[in-house]
Amino acid sequence: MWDSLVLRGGSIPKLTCAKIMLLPVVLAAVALVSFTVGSYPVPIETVINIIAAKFADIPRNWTPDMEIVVWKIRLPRILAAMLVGAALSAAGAAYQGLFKNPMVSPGILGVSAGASFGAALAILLSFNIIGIQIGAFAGGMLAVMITYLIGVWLGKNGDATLVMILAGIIVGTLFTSFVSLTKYTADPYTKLPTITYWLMGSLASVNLSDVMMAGIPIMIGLIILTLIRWNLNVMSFGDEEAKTLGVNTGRIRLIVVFCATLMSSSAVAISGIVGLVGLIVPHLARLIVGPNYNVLLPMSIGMGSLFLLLVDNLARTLYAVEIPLGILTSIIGAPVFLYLLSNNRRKHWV
Amino acid sequence: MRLEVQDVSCGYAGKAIVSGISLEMGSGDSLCLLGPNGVGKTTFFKTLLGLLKLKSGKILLNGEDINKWSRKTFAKKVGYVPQVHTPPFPFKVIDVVVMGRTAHVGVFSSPGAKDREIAKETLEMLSISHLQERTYTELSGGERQLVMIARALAQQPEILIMDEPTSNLDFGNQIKVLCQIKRLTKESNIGVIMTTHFPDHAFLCASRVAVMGRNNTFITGTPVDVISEEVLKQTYGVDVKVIEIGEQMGEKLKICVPVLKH
Repeated sequence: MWDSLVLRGGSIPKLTCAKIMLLPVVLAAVALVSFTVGSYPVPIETVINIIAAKFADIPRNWTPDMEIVVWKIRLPRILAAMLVGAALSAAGAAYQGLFKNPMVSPGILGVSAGASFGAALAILLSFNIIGIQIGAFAGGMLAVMITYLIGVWLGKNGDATLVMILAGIIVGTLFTSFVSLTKYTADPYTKLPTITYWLMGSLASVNLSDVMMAGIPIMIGLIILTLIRWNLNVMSFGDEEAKTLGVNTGRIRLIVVFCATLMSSSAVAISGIVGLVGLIVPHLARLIVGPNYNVLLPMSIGMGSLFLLLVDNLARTLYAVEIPLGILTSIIGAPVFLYLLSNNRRKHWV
Repeated sequence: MRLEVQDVSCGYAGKAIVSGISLEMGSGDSLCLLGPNGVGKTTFFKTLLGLLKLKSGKILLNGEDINKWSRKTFAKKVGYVPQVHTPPFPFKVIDVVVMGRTAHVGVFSSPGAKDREIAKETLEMLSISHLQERTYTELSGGERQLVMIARALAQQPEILIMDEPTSNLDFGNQIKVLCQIKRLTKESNIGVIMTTHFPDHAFLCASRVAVMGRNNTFITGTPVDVISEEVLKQTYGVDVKVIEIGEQMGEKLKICVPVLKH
């Protein structure tokens, strides 16, 4: 089934096939190892035993603390990192095709700015954690809805794509200034630090119900985008050509923007602002498997999960104190990106 | 296949650029659209392709009003060959041509093995199979133009609409593309509409010609009838000698020779 999803319709050389097949294996391995690292290390055999105990009868030779760490602390965090990484990467990859530009990130239509404002406002109004998550989600969706409507209204006789990007810049800037306004009026001893730390991104306090809540919209978005990914190939040639090749460009644009925003808003709701993932991972994936979305999208999803899982592991193990996730994705992501760019100068994609 | 354009006017919001255009063509016809820069050829093309809303009049394909058609239905009948440009991502040539099969595939699917076969056949038809695995963005302008034609042919359309298919091509490639167009209309019975800046191309490969002039003039007919020294002077504002130089493949052949003044 995986073969038929990925291989139909494109000429996939054997090496690329191998790279694609390797990804779930590596991901599973890294996920397993992720259970063992942290401020409370758990040996790998114990982890395997604890997981196996759910399915078979195994003598318990571990402490209840270890069990709690595995199920209540590590599992939600690992799942969340994979979901958020997948969501942001898929959104970034889809947008790069939709807007015909490899420099585009998921935040281009304003979802990050909107979510930041929603969360900041919720913190200012003393909402609880669920309230802050809902605020972030609602803020992200609202900002993009405004961008999309402006794009449709002004883009009637011109280039709908370009107008939407410009609208995104306008809306993003507006909501970013609202965030600053919120910070300015917040109590500098209690609210302001909370807002600031939220904006730096973190998966430290994520629990299983958060994973459920964000996981469902993210999975919906991933599935829909995977189903329509061929259309992204055609859209990357431009609106007019895509139309003459038979694509209903208005509808595809709506679906892609909706799914990407749904996923990004859900991701940001539980992780805060995590930058650069949605821009870099699709690029890395494109350097590895090429621009055909039939393989690029699944590859971006897999690599995004892997990338954020690795970075989050570092975030919680590098130092005694946790480093905010958003900071680490940028500090690590930027040099990795630079290294890959310099090694692949001959393969131009821009 | 029968295309009927009935008293059509096209333009952008509020302003009609051209109006009163009527023409007809059928399978195996090749129509060359001539006219000076800015007269409205591109506007007319975009309207034909459904990219611009028709201001008035009707466009019928096989008797049906194309206004109501979905993009997929339209793409199965009408193929568009745009002017060559550089897309942002380095797709392989075979993948670019397979995109022509999008109209025949559901919105949640991708082209399959059968579609790839059709794509390979169109590359074969244009003698560019050797470019299959090359990266599209690394090809020359002429090679890219042929790939664009292959992509449109992969749609298996009844009509091909080509926007200046010979610009940016060297002399040899221009002739090759014109040959392909002539072959397509004769062998595959496809109808072709193309814009060109060279009246000679109309003489070489068109069975019909339409001259769009300033002041909303629109003349249609066969190339030997329509393209005359008066029409060229009226349309382009230059002096040209139109000379008959015998026959080619059983048809009268004329050429245009500009008269350069000191």
